[in-house]
Amino acid sequence: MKHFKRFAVPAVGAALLVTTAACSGSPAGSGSGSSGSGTVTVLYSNNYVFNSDALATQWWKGIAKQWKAKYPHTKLVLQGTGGTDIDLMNKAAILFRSPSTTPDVIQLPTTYVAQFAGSSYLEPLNSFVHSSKAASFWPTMPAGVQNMSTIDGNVYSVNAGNNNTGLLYNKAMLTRAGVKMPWKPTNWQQILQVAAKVKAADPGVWPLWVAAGVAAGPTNVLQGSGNLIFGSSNTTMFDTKTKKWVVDSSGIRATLEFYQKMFKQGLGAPTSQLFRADAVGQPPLLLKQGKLAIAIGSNWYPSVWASPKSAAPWAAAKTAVGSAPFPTQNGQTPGAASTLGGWAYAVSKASKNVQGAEDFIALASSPANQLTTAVWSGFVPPSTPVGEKPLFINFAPPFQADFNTYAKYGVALPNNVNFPVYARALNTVTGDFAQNPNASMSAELARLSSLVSQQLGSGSVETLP
Amino acid sequence: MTTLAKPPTSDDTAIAEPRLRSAIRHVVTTAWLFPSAALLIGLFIIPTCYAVYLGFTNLELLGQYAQNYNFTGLANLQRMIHDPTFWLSVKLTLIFVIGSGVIAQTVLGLALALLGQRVNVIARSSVGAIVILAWVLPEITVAFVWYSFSQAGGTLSHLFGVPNSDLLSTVPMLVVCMANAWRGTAFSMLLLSAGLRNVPREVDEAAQLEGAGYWRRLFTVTLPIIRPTLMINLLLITLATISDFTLIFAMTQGGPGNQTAILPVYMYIEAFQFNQLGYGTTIALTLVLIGAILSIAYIRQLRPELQDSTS
Repeated sequence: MKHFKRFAVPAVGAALLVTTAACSGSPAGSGSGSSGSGTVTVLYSNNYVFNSDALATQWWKGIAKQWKAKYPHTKLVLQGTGGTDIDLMNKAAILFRSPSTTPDVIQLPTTYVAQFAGSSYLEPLNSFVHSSKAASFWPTMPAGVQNMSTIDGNVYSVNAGNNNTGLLYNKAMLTRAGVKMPWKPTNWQQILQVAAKVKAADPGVWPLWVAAGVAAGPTNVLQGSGNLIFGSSNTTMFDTKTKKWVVDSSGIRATLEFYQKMFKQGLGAPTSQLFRADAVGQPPLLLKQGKLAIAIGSNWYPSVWASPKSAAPWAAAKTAVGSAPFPTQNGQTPGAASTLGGWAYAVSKASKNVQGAEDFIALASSPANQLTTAVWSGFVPPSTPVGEKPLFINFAPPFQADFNTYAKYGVALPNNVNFPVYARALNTVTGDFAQNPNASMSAELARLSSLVSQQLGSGSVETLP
Repeated sequence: MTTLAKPPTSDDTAIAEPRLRSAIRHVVTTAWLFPSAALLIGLFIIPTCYAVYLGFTNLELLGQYAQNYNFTGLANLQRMIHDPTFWLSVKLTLIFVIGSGVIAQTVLGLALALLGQRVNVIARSSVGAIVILAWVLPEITVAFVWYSFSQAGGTLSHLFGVPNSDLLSTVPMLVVCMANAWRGTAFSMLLLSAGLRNVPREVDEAAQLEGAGYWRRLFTVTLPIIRPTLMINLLLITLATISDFTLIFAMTQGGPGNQTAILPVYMYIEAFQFNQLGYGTTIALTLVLIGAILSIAYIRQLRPELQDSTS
């Protein structure tokens, strides 16, 4: 999930464009040109998914060109829209209210698939993805990625790229604190200990970034508290059996205790940074500036440093920054944890050209297009073979390869229509600890429960061991 | 017995002709009003009625009731009454409107207007221009200026003697109120300056000859005379502040937690982040109702002046 305009990577971009153009004649899926006629309308974000507006324009122009060559009799109408992911989704939700304004294909964050499917807005794609001829890309996507698109047995979207999480740290700052390189913590306590050493060695810096507060919306769960919950002894946020939200469990408590300890010891980033609307984009900048030592960060951070024309070019980042998987609470199996979030394409139920819409998805999911999407957006490609391609691995080395290995720990956030409510409640409580580390744990747990139940009813929450 | 119809006289014709012309004029006038009436009905009355209806439904932006929503009667109102965040939001809205609008903007605007009377034209114009600059800045710009201003290390934190304190996080409501007052003071200053220019100099001089001091003259002569201007100023400030969204949303998104979620922000959160479009509409209608009640209160206060001016 992308969060701010980052940078342009013209050199790599040009190279990949050549590759894309070269691959454009190759079969993307059906290869049969089955869209006979008509129009296919695609609604997408033109300044949130890709690293820069220019790259978004370049990618979509490339797609339009490929489409014209492959389906000359079907008009492709591209509806790019600005703003954040929430802005795109609000616009889409309004467009979907009338069949006459509903696009055939929508680009959407994976966390919204359930919301659109739950609104009966999406066409199930079961027969499409299970057709080896039409969707050759589908078997190349691991089950975890396929499941992000699947609700109650129906496939409602096709993943276009993912973000996962790991630890990124400024090696020089940790070395000054006496930490041996490479650093690979095996439990949460070790992270706090190292953060304390950094603070002792250099009191003027912020040792540890863990996203907190409501400013960045559900993304703060994806890049913050969600990782802790998934690394705890109870990883459930939404109980699929009881259809209730977990507001108290050993996992929730451990997560909040981590926040409390971090802020109580003065190890966390200040609220002026955490509560910024663009907080999500700050850690890579702060790591470069030497103001931040460690971040629970996303796989896209390195793309901020990778190019001379990046938002924060940092040629030395490949040696100056280290990465490690984010460990589980006590080092328990599987040893590391990561949230998994991404973007996908879905077909609207109101589409008058479902075939054309599916053809578009097949084209966008071709290996070459997956690759350009991944590199230009800072995604892990959904298809495993694409993620293993040298062009992907060698972009912003060694981080792409590192985060590829963390992908196996990735767990998707709850694919549920009410996730935004739960996310805001969780973000409120983590923000409370950032503001007031001495807040009572029981009071904050009660607050989490009441914030969810106020919105969804008292029967919507539960406590787990 | 037969009755004979009275033949029309020239007098009757003389009366009928103006009547006919009047009727034609009436029809023509009505016809000319039709476009504006149609616009008013089409763009205001029907959407407003539809919004009122939606406020009594379970309509969702996304979710199972996005397409097939139902009339749910008073369910949204019941939910609102039992929603602690709504009441917190009402409280915050009143603090924002009264604190940053009614009190701060009016007092500061009046002070600047009064001070402007006592200085030369150059000083008055210069200060006025600077103050008005804050007013003409886009609200989003003001939000970013104040966002930076109130950070740790920001000028405001230094002025308060707490350079390392994030004032926007520690006292968020105070900071957004200050930002709103900073922005809106110029409007009050302009309006009240105009009001003060209408205070007859002879009245003030007469009070001065009677031995009344500055403050006595201000409260017993000047303010009563400019009372209608003050009331209109308060009415306009209240209506502008109560519906403010951009400033707070850009600065805090209603946070931390819900500490700055005034009603327009809470309405947005419910409607566009939690997808509760029906409930969000109910909150919006409540906001309209609060605005209407306050407006009526102000207008009632203005009634004596209005009656005086018409009699």
